[in-house]
Amino acid sequence: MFRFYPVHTQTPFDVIKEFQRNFEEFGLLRPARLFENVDFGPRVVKTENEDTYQVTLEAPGITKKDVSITIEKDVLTIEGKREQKIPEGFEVIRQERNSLEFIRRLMVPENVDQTSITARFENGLLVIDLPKKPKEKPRRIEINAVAIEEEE
Amino acid sequence: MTKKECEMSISPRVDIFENDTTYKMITDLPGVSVSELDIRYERNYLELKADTLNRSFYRRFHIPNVSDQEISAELKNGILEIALPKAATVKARVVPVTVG
Repeated sequence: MFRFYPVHTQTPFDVIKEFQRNFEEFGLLRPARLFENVDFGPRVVKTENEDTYQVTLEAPGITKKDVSITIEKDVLTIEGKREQKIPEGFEVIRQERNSLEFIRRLMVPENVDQTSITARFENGLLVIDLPKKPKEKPRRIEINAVAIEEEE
Repeated sequence: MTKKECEMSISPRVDIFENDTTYKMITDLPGVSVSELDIRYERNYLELKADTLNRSFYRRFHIPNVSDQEISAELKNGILEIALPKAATVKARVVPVTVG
């Protein structure tokens, strides 16, 4: 399993956030309940198969124009925002959803073909595919068959 | 829903708005498709369930005085919007006064 490393300088709070995310991603515990009112930013899930790594970020209500994905060296940066609007002519009874502004930086593994990274939206998820470079097959080196005559 | 399911599911964040005629409920359900959604209104409670491959979502709200036959819902970009028209009795009504 490959790992992403957070690139930004970490504050102790970031460490808690990352810890939280890791727990959530592995589905071991649900410490989220303890921090119900704290916004940990969008949830990111990372998976891989033989050919591709896949990063999935929760982005409900976010469209193409609200998000930017860039790659520089080995760092993939996902930035986006969503503004919360009250429907016109309506009054608020309960409001739990927040405006969302996030930036996530992920370390891209070495064997990713950076020129073929693609992204798409799927039911409010931002799905990024990072195809792996084709594996280099071991190359056999033939031994030159030309007989070298021994010098007399 | 069993107790276990309740513990395992996620409570999605919900906004509720109202105007004179309608309640509007907006929920974030990233990764949920229409076929995975189950919305019910029964005995003044609106129950919202979604089961995806990886996760399930659950919320339940007491919203009385709703014209239950007219409830409608729309799912777009991971956001679910439910419109619950108010029953005639709770709609603000201007009472005309006649001169006696």
